Amino acid sequence: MEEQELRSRFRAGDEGAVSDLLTRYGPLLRYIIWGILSDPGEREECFGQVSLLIWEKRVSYDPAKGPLKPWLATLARNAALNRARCTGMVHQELTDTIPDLTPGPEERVLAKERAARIQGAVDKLPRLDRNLFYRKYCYFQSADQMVAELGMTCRAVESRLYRLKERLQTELGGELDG
Amino acid sequence: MDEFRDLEQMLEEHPLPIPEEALDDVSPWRGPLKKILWGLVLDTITINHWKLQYTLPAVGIVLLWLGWRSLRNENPWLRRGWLVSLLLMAKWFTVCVLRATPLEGGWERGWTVLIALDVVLMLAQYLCLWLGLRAVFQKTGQPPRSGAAAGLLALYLALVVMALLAPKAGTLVYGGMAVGYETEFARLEEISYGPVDCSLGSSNHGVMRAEFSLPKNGYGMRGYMAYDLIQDGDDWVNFNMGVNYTRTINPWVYPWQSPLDYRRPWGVNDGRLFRDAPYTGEFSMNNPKNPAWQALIPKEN
Repeated sequence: MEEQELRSRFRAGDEGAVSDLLTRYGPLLRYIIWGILSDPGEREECFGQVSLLIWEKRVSYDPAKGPLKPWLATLARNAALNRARCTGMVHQELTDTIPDLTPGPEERVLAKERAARIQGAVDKLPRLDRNLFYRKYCYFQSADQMVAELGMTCRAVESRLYRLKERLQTELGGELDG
Repeated sequence: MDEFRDLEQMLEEHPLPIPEEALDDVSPWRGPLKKILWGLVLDTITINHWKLQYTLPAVGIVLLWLGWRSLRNENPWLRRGWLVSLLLMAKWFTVCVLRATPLEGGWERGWTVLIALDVVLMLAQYLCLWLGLRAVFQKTGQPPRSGAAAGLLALYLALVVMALLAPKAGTLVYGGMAVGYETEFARLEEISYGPVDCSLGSSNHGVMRAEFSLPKNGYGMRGYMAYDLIQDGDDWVNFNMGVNYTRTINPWVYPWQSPLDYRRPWGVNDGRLFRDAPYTGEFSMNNPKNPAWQALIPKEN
């Protein structure tokens, strides 16, 4: 009930709702960002950026597509990934020769189909393997973090990841060739 | 890892949206809290069959230690909890070794001290869990949801007090407390999905159930070991074919066996006391008219 109320307040553009969302989900968003970025300053800046993004992108949130929590988590993850990628990127001057990297409509449809296939393959994995998959490819956590949080050895994490990639590769088959 | 290069590239360049399932599964708190929870469950109940009274608490105590170990750097209370779990583990395995020695049957004072130590350490552990979780919520600016841990502390405290003051309280009272334990464990299990997400209370996660309602013979709650502190000459003896003696501390009304019983094998000294006790098959073992039972009534010199 509370979640629904918060969602409708958020959609209606209530500034207080964003603050409530950050109180409620702030630790979760921090947890996601912390796993991707290592520099404390970058982490804080990224969290600030995510807070702003939540407000700016509230119109693009469609309750019909799913609950708010995964949407917020994905938003934070993508912001942290962008920041991590930008940090390692060499500054380039803008010229006419730099191609537009924004995906076109066809690419977007293909990406959606691909995501559905991957999710289908992931759903078939055992629970622990799914957990590892999410940590590695959705949260982009380091092996050290996985080891610490799952209470497994580094070797066990690595061998499980190897086997799950093997299995996914078999499941996805031709998808990887294209 | 060249063989997976295409797969990895695809997954890194086009990351999947984070599904709800991942949000439930991936939490830094879940693993450690589940270990603590299972540790408490295994350590709280005692099943006196197939040596489970030794193996289950041993597994529980190791789980407790592993759970606390992952959380020990979070705040001072969780660190203290880890230290308490270390002491509990040391105490438990020391007791296991001592039970394999002739001390098992004697050394009453020593056993009483160890049991009192066990009660104090368990209380300290519940206290550390409560205050540690509260500190975590406060640190993240969340409203504290550590009530379940406080509830467990209160229940354990109540159990100890009742064991000391009213050891023969009825089934309903202890049944109610068992239900209370189960409820608090379930609430704590909800928190195990992580203080990082305070909407957890509304989710429909499966609830781990501790089986407390074991109705017959030889099941017990460890908290009731405190009864050992006050029992003296109030035991009854179970003559099984007149050969195997089992001493049972029974706080319940006959003829039922208590789910809170605590049993241990008859020791050398204990046997001496009842050496001359007559055995007769005319009375059931739980019948107070049984001469074996009569022999236990302290006689004035």
